[in-house]
Formats: sequence, structure tokens, C-alpha cells
Amino acid sequence: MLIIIIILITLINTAYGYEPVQPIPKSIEYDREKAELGKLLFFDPILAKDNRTSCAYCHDVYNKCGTDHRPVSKGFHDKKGNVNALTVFNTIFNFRLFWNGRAKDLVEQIYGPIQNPVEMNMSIKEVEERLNNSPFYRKKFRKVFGTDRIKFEHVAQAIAEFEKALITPDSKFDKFLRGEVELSKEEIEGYKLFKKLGCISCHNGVNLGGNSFQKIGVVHSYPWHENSPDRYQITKNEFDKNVFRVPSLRNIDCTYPYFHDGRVKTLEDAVQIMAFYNLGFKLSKDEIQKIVAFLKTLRGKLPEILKEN
Amino acid sequence: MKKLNIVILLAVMVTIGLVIYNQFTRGFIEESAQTLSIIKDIEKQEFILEGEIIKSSFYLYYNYDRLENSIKKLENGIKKLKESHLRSRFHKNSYRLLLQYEKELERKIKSIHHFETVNSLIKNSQIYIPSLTLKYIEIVKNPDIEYFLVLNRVISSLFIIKNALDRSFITELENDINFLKKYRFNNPELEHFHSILLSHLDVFTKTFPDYYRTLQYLLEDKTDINLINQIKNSFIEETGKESRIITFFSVGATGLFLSVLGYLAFLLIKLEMNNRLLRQLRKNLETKMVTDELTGLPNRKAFFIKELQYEKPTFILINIDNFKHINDLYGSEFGDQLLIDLGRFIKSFFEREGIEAEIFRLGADDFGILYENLKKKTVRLTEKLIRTIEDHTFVIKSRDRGKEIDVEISIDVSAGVSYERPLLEKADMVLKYVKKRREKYMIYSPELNLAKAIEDNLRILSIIKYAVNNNRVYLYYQPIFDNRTDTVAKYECLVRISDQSGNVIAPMFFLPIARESKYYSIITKTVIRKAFNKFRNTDVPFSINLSSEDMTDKEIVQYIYKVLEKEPEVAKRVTFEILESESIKNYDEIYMFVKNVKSLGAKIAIDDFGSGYSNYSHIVNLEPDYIKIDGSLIKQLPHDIYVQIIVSTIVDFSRKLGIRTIAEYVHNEDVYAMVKSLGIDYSQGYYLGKPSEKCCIKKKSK
Repeated sequence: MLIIIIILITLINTAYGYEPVQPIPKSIEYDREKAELGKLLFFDPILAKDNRTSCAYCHDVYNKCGTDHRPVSKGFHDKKGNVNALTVFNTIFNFRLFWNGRAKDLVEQIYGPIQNPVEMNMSIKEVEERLNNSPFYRKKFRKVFGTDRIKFEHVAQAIAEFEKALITPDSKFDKFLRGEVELSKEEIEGYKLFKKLGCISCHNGVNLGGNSFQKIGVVHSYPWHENSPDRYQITKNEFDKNVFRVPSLRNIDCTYPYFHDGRVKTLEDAVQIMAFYNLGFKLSKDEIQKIVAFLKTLRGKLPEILKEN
Repeated sequence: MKKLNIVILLAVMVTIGLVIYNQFTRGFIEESAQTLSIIKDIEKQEFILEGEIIKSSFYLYYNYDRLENSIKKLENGIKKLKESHLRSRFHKNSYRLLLQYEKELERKIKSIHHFETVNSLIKNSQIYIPSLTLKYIEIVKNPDIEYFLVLNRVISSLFIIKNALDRSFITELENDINFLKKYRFNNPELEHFHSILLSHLDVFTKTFPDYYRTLQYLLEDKTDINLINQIKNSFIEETGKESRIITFFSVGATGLFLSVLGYLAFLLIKLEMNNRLLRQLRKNLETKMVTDELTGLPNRKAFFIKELQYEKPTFILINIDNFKHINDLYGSEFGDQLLIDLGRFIKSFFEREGIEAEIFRLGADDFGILYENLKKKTVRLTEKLIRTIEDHTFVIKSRDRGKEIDVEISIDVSAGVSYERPLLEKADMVLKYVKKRREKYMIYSPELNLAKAIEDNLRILSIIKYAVNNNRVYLYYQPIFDNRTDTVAKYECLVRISDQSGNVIAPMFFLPIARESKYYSIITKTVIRKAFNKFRNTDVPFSINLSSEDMTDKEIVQYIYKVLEKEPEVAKRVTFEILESESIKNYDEIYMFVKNVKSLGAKIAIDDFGSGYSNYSHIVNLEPDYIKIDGSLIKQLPHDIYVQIIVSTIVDFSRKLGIRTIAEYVHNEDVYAMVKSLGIDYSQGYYLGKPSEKCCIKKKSK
């Protein structure tokens, strides 16, 4: 039975050539008012204990494609974390959030950094108290949620709605996929290499990643640290050591440094290192150049919600 | 009304209930349909997911977003189901299955995520190994054919194992790998290549069992699909139960609704029926108000309404003569039947005449006839009507000692006719006048001065009233002479009344009027009482006049009997002068009276004998002691030979029967002489003695 199905699908496969990458939709539906409130909160250090750390502190959406360009972020009182900040762009297309995918959606994700002692170090109660003491926010929340008493879930919903809006459409590659532009020869060859070398088997979908858990260090083992933010932290399964939620390659040229520990500064290095650990081989300079050229076509536009005001 | 209100309230409540219930039912159906559709969606999505798993395993390039979308749809489905109708207490089993399914799905999702990882691992190597093979050619100038063949065989095994999932090639692959592992190359580049290749093969062989196991579990294990199928079946079954309950309630509610509605309809119909009955009743009442109950003819009220509709009306008022006596003689039942028959008779008369006339019953025995614009015919019609009625014999069923018998009766009627308004009043005036004049009918005209006559009547009636109440009724006495001795034989008592000024009024002026009033019997009794008082202590005979009305009035008759019984000495000397008249319809009562008074010692005289109404046959029956020959005959006696013959006949006839005769109106000597010569026993008249307050009464000689 199984064989028959597989054979049937094999036959279909010959006629079925589909792209393993989808373009980012040009726009996304969201509640503008709620998102605008989320935007205010995103930039407001009121959510951090030290009153100087905001979400935007580690996720610079205007200049650093939603990251902070530090190997690992600094949070509360500039305490160093152990993780490289992931971008907040296009997170709506990810199946899980955080490096180890511990949050199922954006709302769930918000609870993490705010309460993290090295990030914003706030308790849910503190956040609610602070916001309820602010006539400005009370007014805003009443308008959006129709409530007189701000609750943390409202805060999470608002920020999540803002982050939902943070999509970067219309990259050169998206336009190419929609048949609007041609890629340069180098970029095309980069894309072909990207597929030929098997990168595509993990970096696929809208976000070229963000939709599965994969291992770094298949051929050569990647050094493992017990603080590593990998799946092992969650499953305690030996197999899941150095298994991460595959990061998105969208806007990859601007979200350096790379990897969960932020140890790789340049994109070329990142490609080479990935090839070394997962393919076992070093790529030629030419190959890397081509792949990087392709990866640069993934730079999208600034999200719509950031443009205005 | 209160009941109706309650029922209406109930109906409204039940209707609202039913509407709410229908809403609920619709909601239930929609929700059930929706829930079922979610379940089916999940089922469908399960198959799509399975397809995606197969695709992800088969295609070298695969977009995991697709798998993730499928998973998200399933998770959403569960979320929706949890918020759906499945939460209701009817679907406990389905809900329990749903929780099981959710757990099973979570397990599956974990496996899928794991599969994605191992799948990528395998693919990563599978994609890269062929590229690596090419690298070997690039690195070495003279390839080792054997090594290359093994390499190719390894690739071939790899693809067969991976894409056909044929594990029988694993041993072969492992053998080849073991064979390859024996190779050592001096060229470090080649050695590096070789070790990388082995590493990839190692990754493949190590990962493949996991990959195979996971894929097998994902494709072969149908626990979740079975569960969703179970949910579906359980839900359908539960919904069936639920809908049966709902249907049961629905039938109940509808039944209740219909019965309330029915009851309401019943009440409304009843109300309408009552209304109709009420309307009919009102109509009947209205008709009754203008209809005479006895005859069915329109009544007095109707007459007053109808008379206004005539432009040139002719009105005939018909009255039965002496109807009172008919009632007295035969009973009111008989009288009523007579009235009914007469009404019909008049009606049919006009129908026969072809005249559109309306017949009314206006009072006791008063019938009115109203027609338009036939003034010229009226005299002929009225005469013919009266004649026809009087010629007709009414046959009326009556009861005689329990037996039903037909009584034949003829009636006389009088009529008053008027063309002028007020019709009834004027016709009535004429009718009264007609009765008094003993005529049959008359047509009203202003010259009749009826109004004045009525006025006079009223004046006299007031005098009568005054006289009765103030003891102004008294007697005049006129002597009656014995023709043989020329001495007073007895006195006739004549009634008089006087007004406030003391003017004495003769009976001809007041008796007819008194007769119509309640005073008549008082006057009669007064006369009898006073006469008895006057003559009690004498031995003089005296006479008292009685009308036929007196003799048929029970009260008077009883009074007379009582007086006569009480004073037999006086009774021997009293003579009742009775007058025959047209009004006597039944003589039996008269005979009875006469018989009774005679047995009490009184004597009877027939007054005014020889006038129009005299009837010889009655003489035999009445057996009077005296006959008083009518004054109109006596007056003419000296000059009229025919009168002389008549009077002598009466005298002769009387003598043979042993009846004494009296002549009245003896007003001169000639008459007196003639009376005497004819052998009349007694005489009375102005020549011999006028009626006077005083009379020479001889004292009783002791």
C-alpha cells in the first residue's frame, strides 16, 4: 500500500515542480489600532524594570532589521544574555518562536522577555500596575480593548499585533518568484547552489526557515554548551542537542552577527561555517560569493507600519 | 372576558416560547451542522496532512510551511470544536474522544517535527553525496574504477532505500560502506573527501531507521484518524438523541400552541356567536317594541313612527262595540283570539281591496288603518269595511267544561276617520262621538266641534268627581199614577248631581260620561242606597233605573243582592226599571240578575219599551212585572193612528202575559185621556207630576 502511494506520488512529482520558497505577501491583515498601541509599548521602556530597556532596545526595527547587532543582547541594567537576538521581522510566518521554539505564537512569546531577569525583569503584576497608573495608557487601552483595567494579556495582544504587522515584503527574490524581475547570473547560480547543496532542505517556506527544527553539526559536530538555547533544554533528549528552530534567512545580510551564539560576524563566514558543519566540506570562494549574492536578494522593504507617523 | 384575557396572554406566551424554541432549534441545527462540518474538515485535513508528510519525504525540495499549515488547521479545528456545540452535555462522549484525539495529534505533531529534522538530515546527505561523487572525479586524475563503482552502487542503494523505502538494500549499503571504510588514500585531499563521504553515509545509515520508523508511524498509525472518525460517529449518534428530545419538545410545544390557539379560536367564535345572538336579540327587541305581541301587527309606537312617513294620510280607527262585554262573557282568552282574528280580517280585507294599507293595533280593541292618498275612496271603503266585519261570523275556539267548542260570534264595530294630524287623536274624537251618537262611522272635520265636546265632557267629569266626593249625588222623585184611581201609585227615583254652585244637572248630561269612569258604579250604588233610605220607613213602592252595564257589573249586582236580602220589606216595594239597549250582547247575565232580584222580592220593569231596541222575545224570558212604553210613542199617541195601534198591541200583549203597563211622557190631558182609554195601567209625566226633590210620601200606616 505504502509503496503504491509512494510510486503514485513519484509519478505526480515529475509533473509537479513547485518552489520550496514562497514570497512574503504584500500586505497582511491586522488590527491597526491595536498594532499602533503595540507599537507604543514596543518602544516604551515602561515595560522594563530599569525604565530604560524597551523591546526596541534589542530589536531595532528601523536600523538593524529587528536585531541589535550584538552577539548576545544586553538587557536589564545591561546584563548580558546568552542568546543572539532574533529579528522581530516576519515572525508571523514562523511556526514557533525563540531559538528552541518554546513559544507557539507571538502572544505567548511576549511573556518571555518581559519577565526574563536579564531582559526586562518585570513581573506581570508590575507591568499591569505601571500601565494602570498611566492615564495615557489607560485611555489608549480603553479605546482598543474597552477595558478600564489593563491586563497583561492586553499588553501581549497589542505587542503581538504590532509584530504581526512587521513583515518585509517585496524583496528582489520575492519579485523574482512572482516573475516581476530577473535575478543576476550570480544570484541565480547562488540560488541553484543553495538548493543543490541541500540548504533548501532546512531553509524553505516563506521565511526560508522558521518552520522546522534542525541540527547544526551533522557531519562535523558543533560545540555544545549547556546554556545553549536548543531543543534539548525542552525535551532533554540527547538527539535534540544543537537542534534549533531554523532561523529565517529573510533580511539575513542585515541581521548579523549570526548563529544562536552570535559568534559569526559576516554572512560569508556564516555560509562557510554552515557548509563545514553540515556538509563537511569547505565551499569555494566562488560558491560562497554566489550564495551570499542570492541571500542578499532576500532584503525586503521596511514594514508598512513603521513608515508612517 | 377575564378568561379570554388569560387565554390571550397564554397564547402570546406560548407563541413567544415557540418562537424562542424555533430559534433554539434553528440554532441547534446550525450549530450541529457547523460542528459536524468542523469534524469533517479535520478528517479531510488529516488526509491532507498525510499527503503532505509523503510529499515532504519524497520531494528533495519541500516547503515545511505546508506541513505546518496543515497542522495549524488541525489545531484550529480542535480549538473550534472545543468551543462548539460539542461542549453541550449531550456530547460528553464526543468531547472525551476529542481530548483523546488532541493528545494523539500532539504526539503526531511531535513526530512530524522530529520527522522534519531527520528528513532534512537524510536529504542533506542524499543531495550532497552525488555532488561529492563528482568531487572525487575532480580531485583524482585517474579514478579507481572499483572505488568509483562502489561509490555509484552506494548512491544507487541510497536512492532505492530512501525513495522506495526498501530496507533490503540496507545490508548491501552497509557492506559497501564497510568495503569503502577499508580504503586509505595517501592524497590528504582524497583522504579528506573519503572521510566526509563516509561521514555522510554514516549520517544516512544512522538516521534512516529513525526516519523509516517515524515515517511508518506517521503513515501507518491511524489512531488519530480513527479517533476523529469515532468523534464523528459519536457526534452524529448523540445529535440524533438530542434532536429526538428536541423534536419531542417541539411536538409538545406545537401541540400546546395549537391547543391554546384552538381554545382561543373557540372563545372568539363563542364571543362572535354571543354577539350575533345579542344583535338578534336587540333586533327582536326593537321589532317587539314596535310590534303588538298579541296580533303581531305593528303597535301604537310603530304607528307614531309610520304616520310621519305619509304625505296625505287617511286614518281609520276601528273599535269593537262593547268589547268589554265579550271579554266578560267569554273570557279574555276568547277576546284575545277575537282581536287576532279581527286584525287578520282587516288586513285581508285591504289586501282583497288591493289597497296598500298598514294595519296597527293601537290599544285594547282599537285597530288603526293607515293609507296614502285615497281620500275619495274612503267613505266607500269604511262603509264596506264595517259592513263586511259585521256580516262576518267569527268562529273562535273556546273551552266549555273541558271540551273544545267553536263559538260563532258576530261583532259590531264603529269607526272614526281622519285626514288631519294628529291622526289618532282626531280619529279618536270622532269615534267617541260616533259611539255616543250610535252611528257607525264619521269622518273628522273641524266643524264637528269635537274638541269643545271633549272639553265639555271633561268639565262634566270634574263635576261628577266633585259630586261623588262631596255627597252631591241625590235623588229626584217623579210620581207614577194609577190610572184607575188617579192617585200616586209609586215614585220613580231619578238621579241628579249638582255642581259647586248648586246647579242641578240632569242624568242625560252626565250619565254617559260617568259610564266611562269609575264613578258610575258609585253613582248607581248611591242611588240605590238613597232610595232605600228614603222609602224604608214608608209603604210606598218606588222604582230605580238600572242600565244593562249595571246589571252586568258584578260589584253592583252583589251590592243589590245584599241590600235586597237585608231589607226584604223594602225589597217588596222596589221595581228595577231596566233598559234594553244595543249593548246587550248576551242576555244570560241579565236573565240571571232578573231571576235573582225577583226571587228576593223585587219587581222588574222594562223601560222605554217600543223604541228601536225592543225585543218581544226577551219579554218572555225576563218575565217583567211592568212594561214602560217608550215616551216617543206616548207623545204621539193622540195624533197618530199607527202609534195607537202599536201601543194597544203592546198593552194587549202585556195584559195577556199579566204584565202591567206604564205610560211615560204624559204631558197633557189629551194624552192622559188616551192612555186611560187604551187601558194602560199607570201614567207618568209632567202633566201629572214633575220630578222633584220632594215627594209626598205617605207615612206607613200601622
